[in-house]
Amino acid sequence: MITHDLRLASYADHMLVMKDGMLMKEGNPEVIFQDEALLASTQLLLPFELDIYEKSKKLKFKNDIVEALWEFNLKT
Amino acid sequence: MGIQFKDVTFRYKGFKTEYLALDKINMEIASKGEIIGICGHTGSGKSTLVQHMNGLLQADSGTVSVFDIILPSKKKVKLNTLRRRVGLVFQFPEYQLFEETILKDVMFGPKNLKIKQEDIEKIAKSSLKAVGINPTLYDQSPFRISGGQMRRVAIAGVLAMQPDILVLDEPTRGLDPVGQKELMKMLYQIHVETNMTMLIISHDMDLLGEYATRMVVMKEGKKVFDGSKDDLFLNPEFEDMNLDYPTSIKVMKHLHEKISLPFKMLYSMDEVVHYLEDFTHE
Repeated sequence: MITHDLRLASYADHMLVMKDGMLMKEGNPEVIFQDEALLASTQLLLPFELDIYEKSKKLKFKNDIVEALWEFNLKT
Repeated sequence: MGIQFKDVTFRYKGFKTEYLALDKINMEIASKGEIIGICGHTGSGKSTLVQHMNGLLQADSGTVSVFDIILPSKKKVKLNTLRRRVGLVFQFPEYQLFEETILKDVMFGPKNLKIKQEDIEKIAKSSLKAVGINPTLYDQSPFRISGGQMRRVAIAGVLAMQPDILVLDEPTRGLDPVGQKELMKMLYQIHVETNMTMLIISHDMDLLGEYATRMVVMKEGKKVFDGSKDDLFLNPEFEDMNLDYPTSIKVMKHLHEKISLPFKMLYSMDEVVHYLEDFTHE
C-alpha cells in the first residue's frame, strides 16, 4: 500500500518511508510515528487523534485525559 | 447580490436515460464574508451545483441569479462576465497548466479581459504572490515544480481573473498532508484579506470543520442541510446524512463519555489543546 495518509498507514505491520529516491527509515508504525524529525522532513503529518495524544503527553495533561486519548486511538 | 438559486432542477440527459442531478434547489450566497463548505457523497450533486454558479451548466427549470445576471440565458457576453466574477477551480486544476512559464500561464486568463499588458502582468504577479509562489519561479516551466506548487499556480490563474466569489472543487485532493494544510492556510489568508466568499467542496470533514462558516449538505440531488457547523453536527438527522464528524468532535465526544469532560464543539487542534490545557492547570 502506497499512501501519505498516516491514518491508513497505521494499519500496516511494517512501514518504509521514502524521500527523494532514498529510503529514510523503516519499522513498525509506532517507531515511525514517534520520529518527529523524520515526519517533518518528509511532509507527513500525524492524524489528528495521534497528534493530540502525543501533545497531551508532551504538555503533561492530566493522566485520565492522556489515557482516554490513547483509548480513542485504539478504537479508531 | 451574490448568487441566488430558485427552485433549480437539472437533469443529465443520455440517449435514452435521464439522471436527476439537482432537485428544486433554493439557496442564497452573499458575495462577501462566507466560507461555505459543500459536502455529500460522490454523485450527490455537489459539482453539478457549483457548475450552475458560473453558467457552465444551466437549469432545466428554475433560475440562478449571479450578480443580477439571470440564467438560463443564451447571450454569450453575459456568460463571459459571469465566468470572470465567479472563479471556479476544478479538481486537479494543475492538469490545465500549459504555458512555457509560470507567469505566462497566470497571465493567460486576464489577457482575454480588456486590460493593458502591463496591468495584466501586475495582476498575475500579485496573484502569484497571494498563493505564495516565489518570484524566482516566475520564468520557470510550470511542469518543473512540485505538485503542491502546480496547484497554487493553477489557483493563481483563477485569482488573476479577479473574481468576486471563488469556488473550489476538492482543492486539497491528492496533495501530501503538509501541502494540504498549507494550501488551506493560504486560501484562508486570501479570504481574510479580501473578504471574498469562498465555496469549498470537500469530503474532508476536518478541513470543513476548521474553516467553513456555513455548511451545505447535498444528498441525491437535494439540499438536505444549510446552516451553521454547530447546527449540523448537533442535528439529530446528521447520522442519516452518512457523513463523518470532524475528528475533533469525535475526540471531544469520547472524552465526555469516558471521563465526563464537559462536551464542547471544537474544530481545530489549537482549540482542543487549549481546552484540555485548562483542565490540566485548574
